[in-house]
Amino acid sequence: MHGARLTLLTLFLPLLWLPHAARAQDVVIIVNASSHIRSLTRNQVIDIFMGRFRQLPSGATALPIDVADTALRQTFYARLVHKSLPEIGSYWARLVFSGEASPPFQAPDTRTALKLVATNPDAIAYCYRSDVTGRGVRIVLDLER
Amino acid sequence: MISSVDRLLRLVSRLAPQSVVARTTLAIFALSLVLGVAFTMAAASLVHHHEYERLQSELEQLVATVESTTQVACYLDDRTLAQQVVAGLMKTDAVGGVRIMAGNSVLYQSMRPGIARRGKRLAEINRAIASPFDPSRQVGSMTLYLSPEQLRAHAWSYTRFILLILAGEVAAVSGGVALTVFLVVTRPIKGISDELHRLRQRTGPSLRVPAGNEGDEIGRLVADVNSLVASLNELVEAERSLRIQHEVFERQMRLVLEKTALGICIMDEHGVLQSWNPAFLRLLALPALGGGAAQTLQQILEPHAAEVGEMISRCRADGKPCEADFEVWREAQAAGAWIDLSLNRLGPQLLLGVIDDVTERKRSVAAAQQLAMSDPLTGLLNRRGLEAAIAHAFSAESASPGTIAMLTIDLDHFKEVNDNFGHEAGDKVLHHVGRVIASAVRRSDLVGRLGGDEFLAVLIGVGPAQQALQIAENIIARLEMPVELPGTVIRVGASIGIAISSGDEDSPAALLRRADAAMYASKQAGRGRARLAEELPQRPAMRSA
Repeated sequence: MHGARLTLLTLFLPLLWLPHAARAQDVVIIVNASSHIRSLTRNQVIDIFMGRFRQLPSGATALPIDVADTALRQTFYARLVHKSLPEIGSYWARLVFSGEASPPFQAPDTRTALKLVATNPDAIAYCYRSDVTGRGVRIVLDLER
Repeated sequence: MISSVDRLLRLVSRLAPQSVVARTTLAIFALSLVLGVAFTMAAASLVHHHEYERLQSELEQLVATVESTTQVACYLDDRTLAQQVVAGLMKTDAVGGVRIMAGNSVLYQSMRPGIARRGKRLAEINRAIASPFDPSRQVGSMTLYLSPEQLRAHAWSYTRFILLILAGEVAAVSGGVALTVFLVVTRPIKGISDELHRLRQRTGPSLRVPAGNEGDEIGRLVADVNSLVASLNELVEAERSLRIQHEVFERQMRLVLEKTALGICIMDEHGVLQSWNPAFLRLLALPALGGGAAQTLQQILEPHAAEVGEMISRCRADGKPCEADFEVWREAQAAGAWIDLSLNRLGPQLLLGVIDDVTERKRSVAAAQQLAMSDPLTGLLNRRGLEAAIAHAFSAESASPGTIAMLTIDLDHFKEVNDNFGHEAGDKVLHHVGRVIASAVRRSDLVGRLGGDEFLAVLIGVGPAQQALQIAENIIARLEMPVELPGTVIRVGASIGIAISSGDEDSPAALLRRADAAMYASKQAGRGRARLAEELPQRPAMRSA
């Protein structure tokens, strides 16, 4: 009997995982709701996150925020620059000694990131679309699949 | 052009060593050198080109290895990173300079001394640098310059290597050719040449074929030389034996010429004597000829010069041999002689004269003729001799008619002499009569016995008829005188008929008939008288001659 339950659970597992996976693939770029920025291009986002420019179109210095959620982060970089996390790591490692550019500040989780964006008008971060709930942030780019 | 090349070749050949080996080696060496230089020059250019491409591809690879870092440097405008990249690249010798551009400005560049000045002419590699995150987005560019010194040094080291190999090959090939020529050509030929040099003609041995050359051109050369020498020897031998034969033949011919009884001479087309044999001088009783002016056959046979000259020109003209007899006077022997001269044409301008002594033959012929024509009893001409002599006289005298008188003399009563005193006495009487008649006429006149007691006298060149009559009467008068024989005296008489030729129409036979008729007339008239035929009444002849 116990075995039959286990088998049933195994059968339903994919059903339980699928909605979550579909939701996880929608990654969006968010900024402070009070920002003048209505939208950003993909290249603008790349330049900001990969250290080329830290200036927003408004003239203010942008503050990119990385999220320490591995799955989200992995999806984000894969969608943005088609690179894996080790590649991103090696990219920043190469720049350690030249000092011209530095990696973005890293928030411990999505919630912190969302809070930082909502409180800092220059902050820019990413999250699953489903995580964008409260007011205070604005989606400026949807990294589609 | 040709002549100058010729002159150059001649100069070279004069300067070149005499040994075939040295010359061949020198030629091959020079050729190899020239070819080597040409090949090296071609190779140098090729090597330079190849080396350029090789360096270029090397640099391309070098660029590829630093590309990702350069992408980042350009993307981030990271001068430090660019400097690191450039410093790394400059560690390679082949790199003459590097420039990294971010956007439109130079991010970092480094040039080796002397590079920048040359500008565009330098070989360079340009590479567009894309963003590390978007290959379609160009964020900068990188330019690498090739170091020309490096390129040249590399090319030169390769060229030097090729040169070294070529030089080695030239030396090896030249040496090999020298050795081959020496072994294959010169040594055998020199051997043959030395042997040929020592070879004594006719006595020397044949040449030996050098070992290993039996089947090739040198072997054939030796065989040909041997057969040539052999055939030369045979030729010389044959020549010698031929010469000996010729000498023997010549000696024999000379002997024959000297010993023959025939006089032989060779003369030119004008009769000028060129050579002769001893018999020629002997037969013509000549002193040794030669020295002084050339003598002609005509001069030697002086009295017959015209005939001899005619013979020579006839023989010369038709080339047929001609022959004639001549009487010559031999001073030394004070005697006449007859020679037979025959001429043969030897060539267009040479004649052969052969002289034979025919004196004896002529004499015996003359004697036989004499015998046939004379009457043995009286020593006068017989009938045949008379006919021949008359014919001759008529042909000689035909130009002056009326000058020949024919006297037919018939003895009267001669039959009685034979009957009474015998034939011996008769013969003596006839002999006496012949002498009487002969003494009564001139020596040039003809006297003969026609047969029996009938005589004939032919007076040549006689005067008027009267003179002939007088001679006839003189003969009659002398014949009527008694003939004294031993033991007896005989008397005979004679009747004579005379006919005198009266012109061209007179033939000897007609004349004789007329004389005969006159003689019969005088007999009928009483014997002991002479009658002229012209005084007889015309009547047919009773006798024919």
